[in-house]
Amino acid sequence: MKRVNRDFLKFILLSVLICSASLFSFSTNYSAKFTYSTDFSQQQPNTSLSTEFYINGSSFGSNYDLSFALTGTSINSSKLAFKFDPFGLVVYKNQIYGTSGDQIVLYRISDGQNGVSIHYTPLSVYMFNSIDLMYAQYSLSNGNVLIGKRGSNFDGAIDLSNTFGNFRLATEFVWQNVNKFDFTDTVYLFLLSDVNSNWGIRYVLTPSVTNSLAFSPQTLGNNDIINAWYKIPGKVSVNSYVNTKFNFDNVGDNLYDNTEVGVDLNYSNVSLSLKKTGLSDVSGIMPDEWGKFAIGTSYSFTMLGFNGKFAYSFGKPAHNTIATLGEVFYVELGKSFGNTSVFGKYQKIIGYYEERDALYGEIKLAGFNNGQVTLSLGNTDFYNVNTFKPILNIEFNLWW
Amino acid sequence: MKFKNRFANKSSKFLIIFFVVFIFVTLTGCMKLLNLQVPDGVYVVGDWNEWMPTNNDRMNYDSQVDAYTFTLPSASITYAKTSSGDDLFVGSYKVLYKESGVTKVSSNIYVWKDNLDTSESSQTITIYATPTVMVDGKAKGVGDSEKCTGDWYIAGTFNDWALETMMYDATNNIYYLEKSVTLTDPTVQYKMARKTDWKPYELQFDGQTYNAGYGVQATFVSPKIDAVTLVFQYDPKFSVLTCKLKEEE
Repeated sequence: MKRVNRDFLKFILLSVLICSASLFSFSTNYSAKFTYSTDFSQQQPNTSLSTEFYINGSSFGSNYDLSFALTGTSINSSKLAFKFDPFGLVVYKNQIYGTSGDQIVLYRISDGQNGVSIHYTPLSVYMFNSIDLMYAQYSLSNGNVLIGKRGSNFDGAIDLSNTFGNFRLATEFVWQNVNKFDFTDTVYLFLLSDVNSNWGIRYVLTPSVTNSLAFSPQTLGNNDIINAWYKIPGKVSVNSYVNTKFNFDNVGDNLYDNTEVGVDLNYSNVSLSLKKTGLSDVSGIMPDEWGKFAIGTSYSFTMLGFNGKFAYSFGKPAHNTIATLGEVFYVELGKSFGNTSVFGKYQKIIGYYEERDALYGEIKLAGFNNGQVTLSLGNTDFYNVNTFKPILNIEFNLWW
Repeated sequence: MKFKNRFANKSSKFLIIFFVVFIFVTLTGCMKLLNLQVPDGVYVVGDWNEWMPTNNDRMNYDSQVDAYTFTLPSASITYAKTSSGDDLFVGSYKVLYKESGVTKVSSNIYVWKDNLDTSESSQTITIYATPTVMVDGKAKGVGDSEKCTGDWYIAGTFNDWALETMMYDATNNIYYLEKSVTLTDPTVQYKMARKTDWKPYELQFDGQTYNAGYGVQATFVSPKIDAVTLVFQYDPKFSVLTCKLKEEE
């Protein structure tokens, strides 16, 4: 399997774009975004202006679909699909595609990629130009067979899944770097659950504690990884879970350190969650002696035309940005007045020794035929930035 | 009767209890309710103490340097690959000061592992802090011996952002650069780095915080333009970066 040539892809794409525009039904829409920003956090206010221009187009024929987006004069993303049942060919530019359908998800593609996929039911072949990966997936009636190439290494996987009455049993065998003939490069998965996944146990076993799966969301690092859950659906829904991981040579200590136990409760607009990670760091009865834990609650409401949410959490780590014990207060409020909408949110973190406040406010004017103006103050990413950033943005969005 | 039945409903009870607890906790907060606070003092926190200060992490006042100091084994810091995408490793710590209801916590102070001689297991880093200079959430007032070794570079609008080596004054333990330029704009923006390719990014310093990313820089407004000599000074013990005109001395 040869890596797809970038120039060849460009040629195909541009040729079809030209043909589509001249011969077939073709529709386009245009949009532009102007952002004026002033950052008052610097000693001297820093002002910037950015402009972006987009064209989105689509063309449909009996045997093909084309869609694309241009930023300025360059192609931002596009997808061209040819269909001649049962054969299909799709060419991608900056598209999220090609996540494998096996239990472990050996290849997850979460960013826009360039490449090609070829489909001849039940076989699909995915080739990527922007990452060094290509693989073939053969779909069985109860599973999948995968053969992949990552750089100079080859992977193989087979997964099978069956239901027996109310039970569902699934298993997968993955062998990475098959060409190196090292059996420690293998990963096994066993899954037993009810057919609705209201309860289940998932067990991942690997001989190596140092291996990882390069494109998979499945993290390794331990010989044994177990996730078990039990859900009670209903007016008050309950989701309880136990996650743990351990190595063959240190089962007791690993279980003591790594086991995570939690329960989530939801009732109407109210939620409550409790989680404890590890037991080895518990040294007393006060919360600062409990080690890692999290208690969280939230309430969403509608009152006097306002939509809002209160949330409170207490634990260690207190927040993504605060590693110590602490608590987080969060409130958001939004309301629409005809074509005008306002939204604001505030977060206060009280840590063991740090207090941080973050604030964001936004007014959106949408009373125009083909435009929208947004005025915002502050930084909206409270998860990564825990302080107020005095940044004023005015954004004009136009489309026609 | 209808109201009574509804009230007896378990779900309603759950909701009422939740609201009572929620309002109580929201108004008070567990941290204040349980008086979970660090005792007064100056501390160093990092991975070795899981960012929770203990009595062993207290800094002591050293009259010779007129600052609080703390000696930390360099192996106590956990070094991780940097965001620079290279084989550069950095770790970090913070200094916190709490006294009479005033709390100041420094921003993350990054330590560049490649600049330390970690071949010796006894390698230590001396951390310095002056609470009077410290600014909450900034690096100012806090520094360490790692920053007193190796080269520092500085660039800005005065040299079209081409990093230049700073000189080291061993007597006063400061890095400096004197640069004769012709200013057309009185606003001078500048920033320091550890290497000429700006890496590791966590050690870019704008006088406020390390890890000063793209578009974040220090600003000096010159009282005059045309031919001037700019003097940049960096005190690595306390992360103080200044710019002034030579004529002002």
